[in-house]
Amino acid sequence: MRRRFTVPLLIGASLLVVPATASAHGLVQRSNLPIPEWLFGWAAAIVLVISFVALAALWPNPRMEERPSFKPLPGGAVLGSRPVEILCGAIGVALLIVVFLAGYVGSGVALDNFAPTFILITFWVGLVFASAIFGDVFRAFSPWRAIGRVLPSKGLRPYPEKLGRWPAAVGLLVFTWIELASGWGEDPALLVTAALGYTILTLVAQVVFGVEAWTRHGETFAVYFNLFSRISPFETRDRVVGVRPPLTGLPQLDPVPGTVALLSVMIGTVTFDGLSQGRLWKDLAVDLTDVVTSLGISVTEAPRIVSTTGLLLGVALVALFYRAGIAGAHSVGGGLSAERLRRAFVHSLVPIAMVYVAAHYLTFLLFEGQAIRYLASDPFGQGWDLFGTASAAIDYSFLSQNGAWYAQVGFVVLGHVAALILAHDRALVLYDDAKLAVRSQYWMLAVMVGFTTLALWLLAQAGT
Amino acid sequence: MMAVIAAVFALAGCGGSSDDGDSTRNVPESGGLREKLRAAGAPAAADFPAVEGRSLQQMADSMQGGPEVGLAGQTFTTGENRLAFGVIDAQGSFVYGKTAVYVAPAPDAKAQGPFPAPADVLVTDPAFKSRQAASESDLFAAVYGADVKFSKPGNWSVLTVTQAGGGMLAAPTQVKVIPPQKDDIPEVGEAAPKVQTDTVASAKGDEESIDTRIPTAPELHQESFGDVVGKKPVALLFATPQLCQSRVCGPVTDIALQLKSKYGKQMTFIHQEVYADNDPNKGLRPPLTAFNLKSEPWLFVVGADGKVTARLEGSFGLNTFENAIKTAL
Repeated sequence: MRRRFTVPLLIGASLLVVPATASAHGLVQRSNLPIPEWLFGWAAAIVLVISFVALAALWPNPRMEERPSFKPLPGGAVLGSRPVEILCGAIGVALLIVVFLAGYVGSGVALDNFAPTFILITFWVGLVFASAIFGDVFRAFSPWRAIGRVLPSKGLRPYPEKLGRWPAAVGLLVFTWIELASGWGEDPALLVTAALGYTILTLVAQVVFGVEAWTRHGETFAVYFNLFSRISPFETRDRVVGVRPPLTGLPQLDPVPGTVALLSVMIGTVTFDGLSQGRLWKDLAVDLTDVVTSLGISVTEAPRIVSTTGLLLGVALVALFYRAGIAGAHSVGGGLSAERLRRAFVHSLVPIAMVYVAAHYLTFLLFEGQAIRYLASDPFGQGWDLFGTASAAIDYSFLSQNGAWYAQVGFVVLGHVAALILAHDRALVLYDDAKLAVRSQYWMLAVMVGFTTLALWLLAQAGT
Repeated sequence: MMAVIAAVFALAGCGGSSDDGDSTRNVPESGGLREKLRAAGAPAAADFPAVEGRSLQQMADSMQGGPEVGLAGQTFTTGENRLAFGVIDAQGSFVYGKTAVYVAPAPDAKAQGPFPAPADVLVTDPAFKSRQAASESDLFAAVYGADVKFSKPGNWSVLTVTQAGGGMLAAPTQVKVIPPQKDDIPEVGEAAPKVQTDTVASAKGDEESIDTRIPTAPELHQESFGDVVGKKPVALLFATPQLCQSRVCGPVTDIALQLKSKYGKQMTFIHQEVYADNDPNKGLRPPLTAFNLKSEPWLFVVGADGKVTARLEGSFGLNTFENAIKTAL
């Protein structure tokens, strides 16, 4: 077909590349949901209340306090064997070295460096899911435990009981500060320097207190992932991998000092991260930054101080909320001290911490986590394509925003129902009178509904 | 373990660069797109019919019609200009092939050309691809750019010719050429306005308020243009990835990020959003006003002496962006 040389208007020609509307991509906002977001909150709360009533009526005796049943898996002895443990430990050490090298010799831009993505997504978020599903996999792959076990020292002194999980709580708070407030995540070399410092600290602590004692209570990530692994139906018992009823690892948790603080950090830091994604905090942070700069602090440091404050307030809020719930439970009587109740019910916060992570970081893991595919192919920024995935792009299409929302809501409700079950079962053990046990749980129900509502509100805040 | 790592480095050729020089390496191979772009990246004048005294209309009549041309810029002055554009078929898909441009002051005037228009790839390495770019259903993989000389002001007729489907596909358009003195946007050789641009600090940590890219790129908002201009080379990019008036805004910010990873130690890279409060109804942000910009995206490369060494309007790919950067190094 021949065409006449017709001269179009300039603007008409340009519009061939220009879409009709400015906001062409439409990625930020969740599409219209069939029911409003606030209704999800009410629905979730109703599910919890119904669960509570069902538990009171149909769960009259404790079922989870005894050591759970255990059935070895076929091949479980091999999976739990010493050679497999050594192999997993070697893999963990190798990955740690790759992370260090990537941080120092790879690209100076975080997006293009293996280390930040591996540490902040694959390791930090991915292992939470892996632990809750497959059990304590980090114990097998921990590079620090693996290195510690080949060092000669078995511990120079006993681990102080009063420290409990406090070192882990402090370590977790520092790690989340690095992730959420420091800005170090944008600098791969700085991030792995922090990891190197933590490695040295851990190895020294292992030499002083012994590998197992430090791993059990002091090593932040071992403690953190072990808590989530107690949700899993998989357990390694006497060097054999087997299955147990889900959640039954949690009632066995020893509520040593620092455990409540650790759970408060776990939930509180995610709460702050969720809050900081929304307009409410962003607007508040701008005002707070003005206040901080008015004190003579530089404009570059002020946002960091504001974020640090927010992080600490998030932890404090969760701790106070739990404390208030326990105070309420204490008020029903039964002769149990508030401190005993705080420790007795702390294991019920683990599923809540799990679903906070699962709901808040689900899309982060599923989308941004895909970056590890191309980064792993060229971990040191040398132009390699080790696995043939160097050009693999992130696929944002396999999960819709609405699909993610439904999954997040599902996680939140399931986790809080699980928490109710754990608290109810523990109450039946603590209180001689079943009615008193149920009354004490009114307060725990209030805590669970509160956490559920907060979780859904935070999710709805994201992107506003 | 360290020995093993050293061996891995040695075997894999330690010291190599992540940039192998093939800008099409991230373009999907499906549908032969990568091969098409490789061919489209190296057109020669000899690949296209000589004018031989014919008018632009006669040139058009000798070729097959069908596609439309979409210009990526609107500021043209007498003298040499970069004419950037995309070619789109009747189905709305982008057409890629060896491409050239013919121009004339009017359709019946004697045609000038062909000016080869190599395709410049817009697809970055995966690490630098924004969510906007990664979610594009119809990938705009490359933009054509030709160096064209307009000898006088006024409306000029333009004919783009793309080799595709075994033939020559012609698409007409028109540009308005103004005298250089009527162009109030900082030109090459002029001092860049010393204007403060938005930074993470000036936004008090609210990155989304100064960057519509998803995720935000705080790496491009660390320093204000006004603080660094005249002290070190700067690449200043005006673009709004989320609110762009063109389908190619997102990639230019991604390209800036990718090139920062390569040239970041030699040059400061700055991204400046376009609309006040990221709302097109609220007008332009002050830095755009200072540069007299009325469209976006724009790239200004400024040397250490504070003078513009290159400026690009509209759409620009990896090669064009990198060549612009090199003018200040």
